[in-house]
Amino acid sequence: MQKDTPFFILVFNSKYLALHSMDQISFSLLLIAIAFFAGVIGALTGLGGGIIIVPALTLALGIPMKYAVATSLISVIGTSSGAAAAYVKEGYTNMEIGMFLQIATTLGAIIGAVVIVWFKIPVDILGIIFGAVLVLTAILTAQKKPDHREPITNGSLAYKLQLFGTFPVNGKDEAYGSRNPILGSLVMVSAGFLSGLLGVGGGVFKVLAMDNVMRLPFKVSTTTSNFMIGVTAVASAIIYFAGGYVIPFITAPVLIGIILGSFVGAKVLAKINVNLLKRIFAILVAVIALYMMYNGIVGNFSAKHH
Amino acid sequence: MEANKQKKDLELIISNTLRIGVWSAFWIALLGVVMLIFANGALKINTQNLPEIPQKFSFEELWKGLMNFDAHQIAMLGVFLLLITPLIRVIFALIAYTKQKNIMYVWITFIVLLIIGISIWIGAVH
Repeated sequence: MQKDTPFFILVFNSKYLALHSMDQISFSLLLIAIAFFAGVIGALTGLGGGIIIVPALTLALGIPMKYAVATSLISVIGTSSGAAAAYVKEGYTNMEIGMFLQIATTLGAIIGAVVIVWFKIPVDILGIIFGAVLVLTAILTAQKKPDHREPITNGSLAYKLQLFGTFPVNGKDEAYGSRNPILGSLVMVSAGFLSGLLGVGGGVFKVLAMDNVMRLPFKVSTTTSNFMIGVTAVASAIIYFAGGYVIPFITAPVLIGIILGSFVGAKVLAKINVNLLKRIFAILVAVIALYMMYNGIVGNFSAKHH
Repeated sequence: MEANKQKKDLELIISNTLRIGVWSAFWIALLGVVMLIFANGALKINTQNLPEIPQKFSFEELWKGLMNFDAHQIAMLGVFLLLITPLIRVIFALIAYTKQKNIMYVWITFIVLLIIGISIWIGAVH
């Protein structure tokens, strides 16, 4: 990095913090703390913790990108499974729509993981892509979500695929249908691809496909998206796991922190008004995004610093 | 009404699978990390020393480590449990759709499992 690098850029860089080398106990505790923070934010914003985990592990702790993505995928399984357990029971999640779209997301996820593990994509480029996806995430999150109520049309493809259902609204069950299952699946392939490539849930694209393309009710699309993230992450996580990119002394503390964090985040979520928080976090996400892109451009992901 | 009850049962089974999977993974990983800290808390680690191409995961090593109460492998078991939780969930869904005689979703679930199977195969051979 040049001498005239702004101060705030220096603060979070492992080169200057020297966080890449420390004793086991500090390392574990620091990871648990970071992951806890990521879990709380992930639960409050509905974006999942991966958005914090990957930048923190790569840039602050100097962990190579593939190891960071592997750890992020495992932690994503933790947060999505934890939340899904609650939503499924409440009857919001549409398991048929989830299962149908998982064909697309798992396919995309495998392609993403294969691309990153088999082909030598420069890690700095991955950092830039990560930043770009985050920018998009921040923009889409800040927008107001549409809430559709599509009629169930007998004989349509969505009908034949059983992509309809009911969900509780003020204690009563309301029926809804959906549209465009093929186009929705195609968007889902790219969501899965990003998940395998970057280790984040691709949640924004999932919600985009289900809200805007398939026209599902907001509650159904967000909970079903969350339900699918676990299986999508598994499809690519297996490839990283088998390849040896999951290192217990990195992944296990992150797993502990993020499960606790998202548990606490979900409890807090039930009690507070999140609109202001969401806006604050959207800004935070945008800052992280720009920071990732900056580090990719100057080549910090590939730089070793002993 | 019968179909509705089956749907509720499936929701409950899947919800419980997820919950049990996550929390058992959590406690085992915690045990592993605590042991790791006590065993070599002062050990210096350097994230820059992680190899470009790591050693592949092996069940044999996991098993051997568990038999010896090795902290690393206990933590690894926690991670592994979390990894298979969504997989078990899909298998349960397959069983449920078979019971409901929902042939279309038996196939769709089967395809999802097949894709995950391909992922396991890619991970194993490469």
